Amino acid sequence: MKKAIKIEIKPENKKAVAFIEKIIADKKAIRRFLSSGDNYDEIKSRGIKFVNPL
Amino acid sequence: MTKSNQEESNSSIPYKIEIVFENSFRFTTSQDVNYKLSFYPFNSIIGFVNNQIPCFSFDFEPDKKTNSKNARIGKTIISLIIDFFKNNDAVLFYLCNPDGKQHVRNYLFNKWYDSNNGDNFFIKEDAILTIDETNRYYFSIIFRKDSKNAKVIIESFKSSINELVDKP
Repeated sequence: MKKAIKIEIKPENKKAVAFIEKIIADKKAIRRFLSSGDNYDEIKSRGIKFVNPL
Repeated sequence: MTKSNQEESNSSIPYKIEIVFENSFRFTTSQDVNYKLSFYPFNSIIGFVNNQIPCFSFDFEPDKKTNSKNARIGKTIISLIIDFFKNNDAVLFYLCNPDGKQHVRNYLFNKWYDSNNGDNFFIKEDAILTIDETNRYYFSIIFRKDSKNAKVIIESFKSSINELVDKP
């Protein structure tokens, strides 16, 4: 198994924290959209370009 | 696990896959667990990987708790990823759902990838981002081994990681 790149960041590294927090929030919104489809406005407001599959 | 379940989970055949809609699939294990897997455009990492390359992500979820040792589940999921790359020269971003069990998910996904010869089909670059003990994120980018963008993808992934790390 290939070794993963290890990235250690401090909580005060705002850029890195914002990067991961945005990804997590976007993925959470997308997962909800895929399961229920009831948050299309949230998806749009996050700037996620998504063709509504439902 | 009963003998028949063990035989079943050791089988090298992926489960029968049903298309729910474009880029979204479902399969049912012999223990009657329904898995849904979806690929979707994921522009949140554009810039992190490269502005010119299509970025997707994917998630899969069972509808109930299941036996993660069932090798057919991993085989089916990896076969769906292989199929995805047959039609897309894209970057696939995978983040282990950070619910406190992400290290287990990461281990399991890597095991599936290795035991199904993922290396024969695509390149997977893994990263672990740690903020503190409770905030640790496992993510990967995956792309076709023969991607015309392979070099650019790796270079921009690594340089973006360098941008993220703490500067002295």
